[in-house]
Amino acid sequence: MKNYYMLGKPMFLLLAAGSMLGMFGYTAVAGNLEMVEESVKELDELNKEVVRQIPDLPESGTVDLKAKVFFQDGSPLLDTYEKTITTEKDQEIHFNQGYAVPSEKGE
Amino acid sequence: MTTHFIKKILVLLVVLVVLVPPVWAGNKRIMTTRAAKVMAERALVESVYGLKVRAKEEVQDMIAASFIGETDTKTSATISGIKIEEVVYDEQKDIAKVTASIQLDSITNIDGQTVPLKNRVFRRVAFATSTPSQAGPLKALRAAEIDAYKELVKRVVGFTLESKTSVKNYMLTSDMVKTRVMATIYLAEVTEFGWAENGDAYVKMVLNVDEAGEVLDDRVVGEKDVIEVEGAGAQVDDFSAAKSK
Repeated sequence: MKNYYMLGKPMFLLLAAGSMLGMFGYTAVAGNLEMVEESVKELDELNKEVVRQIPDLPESGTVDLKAKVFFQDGSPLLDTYEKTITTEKDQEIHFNQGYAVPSEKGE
Repeated sequence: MTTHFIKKILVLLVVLVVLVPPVWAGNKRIMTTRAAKVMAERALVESVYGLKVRAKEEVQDMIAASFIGETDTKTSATISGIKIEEVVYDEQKDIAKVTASIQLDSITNIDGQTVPLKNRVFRRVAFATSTPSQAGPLKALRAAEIDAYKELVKRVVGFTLESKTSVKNYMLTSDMVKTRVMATIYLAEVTEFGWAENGDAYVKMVLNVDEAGEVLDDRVVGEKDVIEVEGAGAQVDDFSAAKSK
């Protein structure tokens, strides 16, 4: 019984110290993960803000963009120098009809 | 006789052990202080002469684990007239804090342009330590400083954006976003710095567009009189740890 008591007291102190470390020590130093997550969020928001400035944005599709971004009064301004927009539509394709291909010659 | 001699030797050894260490202060203080002075000088060179900043950020599918963020800075100059205004040394932590300043009429900057400084005083504060275990907050501060330079460059000269975006019913999803910037920056000043409770460092940096405008010409696009940015730096790389899980 006495031995258990002797073992219990240091054990309790150790656990208490561990809990204190857990409560205070663990949060004492933050890392860069939070900063990375913030940067990812900022990049996403910036990209969306920039893509929304494209006038001929399709309803559905993909936009590949290369642009120079400047700031005016803290807001980003876009100078696009390469842009590929691919539209996507869900539509039935028929094999019993002809399709016109838009081209500069045909216009 | 022999016992007496041994006793004398022992007494002498005890005296040496107890008294001599305070006399042998070592070179830690000097080395730490010197390092802090060099750091302060570098900071002033970066402010007045300028530095090259090259940065890239990249993320795929907006997954933080795929994020790549790199910023390199470079500067090299021969500069005279730096005054060390204050040296503070914390013996317990082995950290030195040095405040340095420079006052010049003009300088030929990193781009080879002569910049009129009109005898304005530029002042920077820097820290250093010789004890690796104490370096955490100082590394975080330097990281925050570099982050602030990068933000300032992006605001001043803009940056290149390359992205692939999916649009579904007018809803945007960023599939890939890359940013790139490479430029020189000068006349940047640190207005505030410190550490948050969690140990993360922050640096507030400003660039006076009116003053820098003469030199920067048309590179500052439609910005306000003063561009202010804040950089952040962490002591612990828990991002790499999270990535490897």
